[in-house]
Amino acid sequence: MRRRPGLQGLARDKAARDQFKAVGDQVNATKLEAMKALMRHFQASLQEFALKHRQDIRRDPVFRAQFHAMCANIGVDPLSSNKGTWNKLLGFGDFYYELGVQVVEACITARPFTGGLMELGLVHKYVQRRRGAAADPVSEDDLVRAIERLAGLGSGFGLVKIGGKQFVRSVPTELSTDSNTLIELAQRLGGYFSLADALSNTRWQEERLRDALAAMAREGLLLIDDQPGAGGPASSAAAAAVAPSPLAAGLAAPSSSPQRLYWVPAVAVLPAIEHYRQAEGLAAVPSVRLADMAGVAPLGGGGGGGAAAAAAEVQGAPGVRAEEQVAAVVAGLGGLDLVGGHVVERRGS
Amino acid sequence: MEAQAQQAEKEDDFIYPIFYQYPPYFTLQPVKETQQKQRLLWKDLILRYCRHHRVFVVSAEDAEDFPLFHNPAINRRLTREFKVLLLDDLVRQGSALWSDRAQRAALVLWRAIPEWAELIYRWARGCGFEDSVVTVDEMQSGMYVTGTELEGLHREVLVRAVRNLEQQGKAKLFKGALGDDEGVKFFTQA
Repeated sequence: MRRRPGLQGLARDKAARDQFKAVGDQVNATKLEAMKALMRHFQASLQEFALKHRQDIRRDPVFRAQFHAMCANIGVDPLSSNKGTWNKLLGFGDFYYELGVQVVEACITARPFTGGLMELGLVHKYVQRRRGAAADPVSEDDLVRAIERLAGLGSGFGLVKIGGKQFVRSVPTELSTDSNTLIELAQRLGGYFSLADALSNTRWQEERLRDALAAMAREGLLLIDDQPGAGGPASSAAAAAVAPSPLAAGLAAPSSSPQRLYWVPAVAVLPAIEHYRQAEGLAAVPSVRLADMAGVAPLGGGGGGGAAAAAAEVQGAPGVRAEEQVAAVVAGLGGLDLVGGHVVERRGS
Repeated sequence: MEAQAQQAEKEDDFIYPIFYQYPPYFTLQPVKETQQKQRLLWKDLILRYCRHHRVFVVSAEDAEDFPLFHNPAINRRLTREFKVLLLDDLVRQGSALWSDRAQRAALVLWRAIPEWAELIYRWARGCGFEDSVVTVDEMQSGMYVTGTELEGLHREVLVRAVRNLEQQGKAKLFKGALGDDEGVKFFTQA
């Protein structure tokens, strides 16, 4: 039967549509309700899980990373809510806040030395040591999370990947690709390179290389080493070239010392020194006793006990303001003994 | 065992900062900001080193080769210009005095003169030397200073400290008849 257009037909159509819509709405509502219930259930389960494994999450860095991965998969960020269930449940806010403070401390203490770039591994070592043996271990993954939190402060803290290694950046400047290349080169060659090394490795025009070197030196990422004294008593001619002339002459014309070396302090310093001593046949020369990088952490006090005490103090008093802690560290910097991964105690007999 | 410990202390239990082993720190950095940090670090190290080893005179001459300025483990030494610059930094902050116009050596005051003066006065009172005369020689190496902070105090520093006490009215420096043996008379404070 053919339906003809007409008022009645239209009304019937509309009635049918309305009915369908009503049923649809109902279905939707039930679905939503079911969804909500599921979510509630899920959240409850997750909380229950978190609560049950709270100790594991706090203690075990690997487990913590897995927990984070799980949360990310289902679109929950236990870090984003500073108040509320998650923070109360896990104390993550405090945990990463505290870790952030320690990262900042490591970077700022090292900054006069490293120029604001520090290997993540070194920061990790510093933080571990700073926290003391009694504290729960942290992983690099935790540090990365803490640093991501710091980035929100607009303080210039961030992570940079250079040559397969992660660096923590604590200065707001961006690294140019040329700087990246040279840092990578230094990393590959053990912490330092000569002009010839750099030219043969990068195949750049000399002009470009000199520009890149000058830029890095300005950022404090590169130090110049004219090897004074390497060939007998220092001549004053070598020093005269270094005197007050800034970059232009100082960097571009190493005529007085053909074997000028360029050192990148962002690359772990102590291994670099050892590498140099080996390469130059100086390994047998007795070395002086060097400070331990952790020696700087306990404010004013020295020794391992101090470090543990300082860490315990941080652990026990999350109320201490981060800025105060950092300021105190910076103020107590006097010796600036940090940077490096381990105690060097190689004394000649 | 105690003697051994003392021996070790005398020898070198001085702990060097890591920069002392890092070769570029022996080259004066051309970038101003970096150089400032570098000079600050060195300046602190010199003071700490002198205090630890109770060294008063630091030479800037190449021939003298002041041990701190030469690190054989990395085959680096400071140039004379660099040394003069560092010592001059110390002089400017009042922590050192040039011994001569040619800037061959500096007297490092790892304790400020007023602090030395205070120490001397306290020592004199402790020994009951008020209103009596003590020779400068005695104050440098006499039996009463053995084992105290004052033992081996550089003559120039000592005299300057006594002058400081003079200004406070706590002591008076006398020249002996021969001109060589100076004496100090301490006064009780009212």
